[in-house]
Amino acid sequence: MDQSKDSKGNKKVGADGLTKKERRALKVNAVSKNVIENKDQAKTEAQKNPAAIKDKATSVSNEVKSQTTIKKSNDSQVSVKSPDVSTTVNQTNNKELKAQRRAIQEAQRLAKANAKNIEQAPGGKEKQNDVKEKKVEESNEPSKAELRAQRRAIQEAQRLAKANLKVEQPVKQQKEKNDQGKSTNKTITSKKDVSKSDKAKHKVQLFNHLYFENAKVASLKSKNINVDGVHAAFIKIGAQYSSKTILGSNARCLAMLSALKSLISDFVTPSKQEFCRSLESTLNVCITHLSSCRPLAVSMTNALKHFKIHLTQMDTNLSDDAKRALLLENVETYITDQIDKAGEAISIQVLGKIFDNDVILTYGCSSLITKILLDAHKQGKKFKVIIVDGRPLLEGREMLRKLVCAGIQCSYILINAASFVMSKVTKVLLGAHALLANGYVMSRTGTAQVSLIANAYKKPVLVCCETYKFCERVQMDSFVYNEIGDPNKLITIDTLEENSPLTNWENSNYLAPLNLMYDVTPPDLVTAVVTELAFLPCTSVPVVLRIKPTV
Amino acid sequence: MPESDDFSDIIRLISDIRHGKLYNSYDVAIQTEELIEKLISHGQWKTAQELMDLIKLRIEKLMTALPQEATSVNIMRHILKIIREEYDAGFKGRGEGQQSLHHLVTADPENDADDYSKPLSNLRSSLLDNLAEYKVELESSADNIAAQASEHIHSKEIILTIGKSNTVENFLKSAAKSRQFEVIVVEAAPLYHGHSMAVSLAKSNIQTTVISDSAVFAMMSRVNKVIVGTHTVMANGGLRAACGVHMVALAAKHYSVPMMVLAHMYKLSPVHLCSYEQDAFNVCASPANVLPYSSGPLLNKVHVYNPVFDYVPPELVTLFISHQGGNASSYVYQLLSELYHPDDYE
Amino acid sequence: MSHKSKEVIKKDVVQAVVVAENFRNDFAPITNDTPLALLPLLNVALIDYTLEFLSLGGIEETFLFCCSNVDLIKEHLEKSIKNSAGWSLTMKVNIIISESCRSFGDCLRDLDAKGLIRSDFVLLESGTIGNIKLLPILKKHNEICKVDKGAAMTIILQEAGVGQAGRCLHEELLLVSTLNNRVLFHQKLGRSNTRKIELPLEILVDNSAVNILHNLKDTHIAICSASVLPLFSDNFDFQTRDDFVRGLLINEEILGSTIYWHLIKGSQYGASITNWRMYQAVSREILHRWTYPLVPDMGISTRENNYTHLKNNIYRNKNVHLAKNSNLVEDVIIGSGSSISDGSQISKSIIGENIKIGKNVIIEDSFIFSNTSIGDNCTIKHSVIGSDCILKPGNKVTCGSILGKGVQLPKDKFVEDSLVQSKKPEGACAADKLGEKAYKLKHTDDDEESDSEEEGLVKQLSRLHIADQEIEESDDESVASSKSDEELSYTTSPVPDDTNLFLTEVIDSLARGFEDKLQCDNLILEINSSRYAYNVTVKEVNFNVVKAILMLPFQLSTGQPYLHSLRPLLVYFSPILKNYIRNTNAMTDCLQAVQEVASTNNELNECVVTVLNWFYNKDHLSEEMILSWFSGIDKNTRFYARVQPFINWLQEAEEASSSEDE
Repeated sequence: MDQSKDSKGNKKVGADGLTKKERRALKVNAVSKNVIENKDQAKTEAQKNPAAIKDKATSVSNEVKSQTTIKKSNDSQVSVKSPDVSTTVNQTNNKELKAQRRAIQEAQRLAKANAKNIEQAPGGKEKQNDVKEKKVEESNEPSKAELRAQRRAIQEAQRLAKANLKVEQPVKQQKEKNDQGKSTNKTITSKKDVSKSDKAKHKVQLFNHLYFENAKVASLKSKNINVDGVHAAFIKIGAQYSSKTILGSNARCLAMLSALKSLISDFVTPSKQEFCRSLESTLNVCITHLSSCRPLAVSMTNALKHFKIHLTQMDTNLSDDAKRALLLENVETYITDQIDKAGEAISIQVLGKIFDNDVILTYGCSSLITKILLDAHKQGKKFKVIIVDGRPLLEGREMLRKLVCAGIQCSYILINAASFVMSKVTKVLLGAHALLANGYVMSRTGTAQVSLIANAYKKPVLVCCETYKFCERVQMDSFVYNEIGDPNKLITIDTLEENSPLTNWENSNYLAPLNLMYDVTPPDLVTAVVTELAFLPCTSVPVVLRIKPTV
Repeated sequence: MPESDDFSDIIRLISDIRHGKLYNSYDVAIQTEELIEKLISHGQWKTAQELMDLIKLRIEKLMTALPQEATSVNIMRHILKIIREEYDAGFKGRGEGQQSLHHLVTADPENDADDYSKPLSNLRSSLLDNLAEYKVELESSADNIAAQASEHIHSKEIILTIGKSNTVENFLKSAAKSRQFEVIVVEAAPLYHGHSMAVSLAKSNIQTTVISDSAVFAMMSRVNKVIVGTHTVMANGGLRAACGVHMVALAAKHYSVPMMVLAHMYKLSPVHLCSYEQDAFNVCASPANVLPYSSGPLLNKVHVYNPVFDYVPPELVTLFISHQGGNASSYVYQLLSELYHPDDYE
Repeated sequence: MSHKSKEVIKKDVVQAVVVAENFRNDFAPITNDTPLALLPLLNVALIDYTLEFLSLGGIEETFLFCCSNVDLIKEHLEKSIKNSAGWSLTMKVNIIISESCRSFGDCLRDLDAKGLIRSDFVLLESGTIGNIKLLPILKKHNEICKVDKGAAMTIILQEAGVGQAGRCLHEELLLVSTLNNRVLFHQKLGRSNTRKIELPLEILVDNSAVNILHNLKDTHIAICSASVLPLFSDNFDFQTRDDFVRGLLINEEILGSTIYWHLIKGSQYGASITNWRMYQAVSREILHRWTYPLVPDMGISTRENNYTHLKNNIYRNKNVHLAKNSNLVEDVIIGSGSSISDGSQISKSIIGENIKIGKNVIIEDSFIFSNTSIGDNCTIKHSVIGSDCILKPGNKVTCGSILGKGVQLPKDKFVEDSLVQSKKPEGACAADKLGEKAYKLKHTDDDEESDSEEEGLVKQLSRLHIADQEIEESDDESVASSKSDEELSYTTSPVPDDTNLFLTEVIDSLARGFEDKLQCDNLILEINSSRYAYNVTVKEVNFNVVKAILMLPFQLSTGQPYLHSLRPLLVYFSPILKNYIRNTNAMTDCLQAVQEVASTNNELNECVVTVLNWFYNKDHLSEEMILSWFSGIDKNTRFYARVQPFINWLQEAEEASSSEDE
């Protein structure tokens, strides 16, 4: 059935749409080289391109061994020629594109000839594959066309090479980068509906709108690592986000900011370009990449907003280095003021509320809460901690490790046993992912549950949250905006003798594990929010938002 | 009481329950019933009194050994009641025992109301008949409950349940015959019976979603009904249910979602909650299901709790469904007085 | 009925063999008059756990080997059968008396001679408890046998983290197996003094892929084919099960039999009480309910469960008298008929039955067997008090002391780290006499390596708690580092560059020198020779020698805390230090070495002050050198913070016994 869906999916793309797609995909491909080391000389460029050609060529057909020698010679010749080619861009582009399209058509012919080559096509161009497959079904031509085809293919390849060589004038880079930005989006979305088609039956109807994100992530996994125009640092953290190695809104925000710093310091203004604007556009590309890895945390979007404001307000008649310095400093101050100092302030405030013989219950692993508890312990307060943990992330174990190594007396339970210990608890400390303008607290799934139980036992619930995590969005349940994690995470259990019976849930049309990342806690379940400003009721979020324009 | 009475039967039952050979409460119920049946047919007893003593001794043993095990005690209690009734039936003129208020008032202390020592010729046979009936009742109980499913579930509903309860499973499946609805199964850590529940529901073509325990609150706002099984229904209408049910019940209350509890009659027991502490109420299983033993030096320092039960106060329960139909939790005391004789409560 | 739900593997009954002796007197003087099998574990005889475990595991017939105090054990079993203990319903127990047996191997040979075993059986060593479902594993073993005729034994192992209490240090196990769990190499690291492991090359040659595991603990439970017994009979040198395993692995092709291993998962747990430390660890783990359903409040072998389980893992018998303001902290179990008076505080301890505890008594990490009375104001820490003892008021018993049965301590005695028994041992001098019915046993305080002698183990009983304190002291930064130096202490593999090579050389020779007590002069010669071999400068030599000594504790990883193992080393090597640290330059080198080691691993950092102080007192370092060096250190390192107090102290030139020292 997947197969059928696939073909359908491509059908709607249609022949003309296909070419457009091709154009983008290939353009991206061609240009990527220039962007990645855009300070390189024509020579290296030339050497690089043949490589590009080669793999296109191979993608076209593998048994062109006979020609490879010829190709080699061509390459050399090309590189010799390279420095003194000069024609206008759009021309080359067109040329290039025509070339591409032809190449592809050849490819399809060949594909028909022997399908196995297609499998060997590099993973970078799945769409191409689809197309080919489709073509394979339809087209049927005499096999002697093959040789001719190959020869043509090679020629195309060479032309293409020439074309690519000309894509060095920095003038166009700007523009190109932009539509790369677009193109990446496009490719992603187009990927999305492919990967969605097979997900379809395993969706919880309530969350159809969210699986989009999920699909994105899935698609990214299949995506090859170097995304065009995205700074290495961002690619790195992107991977770390999607693999959940960087977890927690603070950590994610910090990671992003440091990546941002390295971007700023590495960034070179393309000539005839304004530093900030070009930087901003590059940044946008990076961010789109990040959000394709995993939807941005509120903390991140706020931080970005803050940064961009400064970027735009930067006065233009400074030298690039001055600007760079300013921006870096700006990011630094954001980190220290909004995150570190805020953490300090909150910790100080909460310490005032922790007394000896307290039993403090906390959920999951909030960096802020950990800090607070450790500080309290350093101050020699005698208190116990009960760590409630929730599957599938089981962050609490990390928290437990930290606290126990610090010598704090800890108990550890799973969330469904929370009501078992709650009677003994004196305070509940919770971290937050974000505070919404209507006073709802958005946090890891389970937080709402814990605060509910705490309320049932009449225990005070303190949510600790730096004000930079406040956001204007309003939300009343966990459905409209949420994030869906990998459902298979729900299946893996490390504490049971045998594997869960759900292991092959994909086979059933009626079964769907659901792995929600966040939930929202209604304000009436929260006693107070501790911010660096003060102990506040949840409802005063909008006030804070107003008095803190930078957020 | 004859000396020859060794408690081998009850001891074996105890060890079977403890070794987990009898896991689900239905098996326990049947085993107990058979046990008593044997006792009645082969045990050395002359009068109803003796028989009741024998049974009471067994109850005592069981309660000391497994304070958490209510089912089989309840069965025996009920059988005691049957015996009393048979005995009373045997001697006409003795009214409904304590049932009628008038009797209570008029009854003088010397009244032989609770003297069962007179020998009664056909007691044994008539008891056996009664037990046979009772057994049939037990066996059919599950189906009777399931049969009511269509009265409670309408189509396009979203039902939430937690863990695995055979009763709930049958209930939902029978509903699925006539209705289209969706089930959200909470996986119920640390044993994750919810998974197998989900699988078996999906097998009978019910649209099933599995969520982790932490997502209960998030999902609850869209749920139409919560349907759970229970381990025991306590005298005040509260539940001793699998760990996690309380959390679900609270969430249901918060969103005012009706919470239905499917309970066989033998789950009603005339015990009250003495304390939230474990003594006689809760029991903790091995922490290994919560934190793997391989976690290293951590374990030298940490207390890990893995409670098996939850206490759910009656006000969180909307409806009880037994094989006799639905009842509010406030009505449980009446059911109890129908099931057991007040003298057998303790 | 009981057989209904139990899938029996074969027609004939499932058999188990339990050897109730461990042929070492680890548990003296407690085990002088009571057999190990009856050693009370949480107020229940050890054997009851074992038998209950077997019956829960689905065993139907058990052979119990006894060599000493047989009638006591018999009596006990008869009693528990009389009041129908859980196991007695589903399992038949035959006691096999063999006074002649001197070892585990002997027992099995004897068993072979008797020819009682018909098929695969479960083999338990002494003091083994657990809650493992044996039938599935038996089945697995069976299937293996079908494939591999030679399969003799499946040893059952459990995953356990490094540094976990329940993982006995002497049984640090390294296991190499094929992907289908056939054991290729099996070595108990703790037993051997050499810190090196040689893997036979053919392991890697013969197998395309192998698993090498170090995260395992031995449960001392094994599934054996019937062929095991003959193997024991044929090879008289097999004394223990480990001998057997080693023997089979070494001459596999000769004996033509193989060994497999099985990893228990989930809530399954197995452990064997081989020494006091394991005794303590297992007690703790039972209190923490790892052995569920074998926990006090479920009743181990009795049907009645008299204990109630409260928060913080406190188990209280139904009839215990607690004074209002007595305080049970955590991990406590109190047996029936005991009474605790005002102001007493108990934590992490086992209180037996019928114990009278006076006012203001403090009991920590201790085990008090039944019918003992403890007077007011006594303090008992990390000790074992045998049954029927009487402690008069004001006694202080600490540091892994063990009081035998019926010891009576007069008023205000202080017993530390010693064994006490009631009757006068031969050749007891006056100093050993504590009272009419209390005599210290001979007690030598030197060698660290003594695994099997009791006081080595007694030490561990006390060590355990010091380890605990270590964890308490270490603060949050040390999270990462403490982990890392755990690794460090178990895998010391420096980068092979010339000076590093020299360093390792030095470390090795020092380690060896320390183990077999070589003359320091010779060691110095060795070091010098290796110095020329790697031609390193004098500076580096000084630096590395000090460094080596400081690293040494990780090398000979005797699980005790760093400082403990370092002290004797420093004392022992002080001539070497003297030799190398001659002039001021050498001192700076030395100091730098200290700094480096301290900065790389947390443990030294913990106690760097003590170390420096030692150097200072022994005049290896002069005051001004230290000060000048200190002024050079980066102000905002943790190291700096650590050293600071010492420096202050130096500057103020106070008394040597300052509070920072410990």
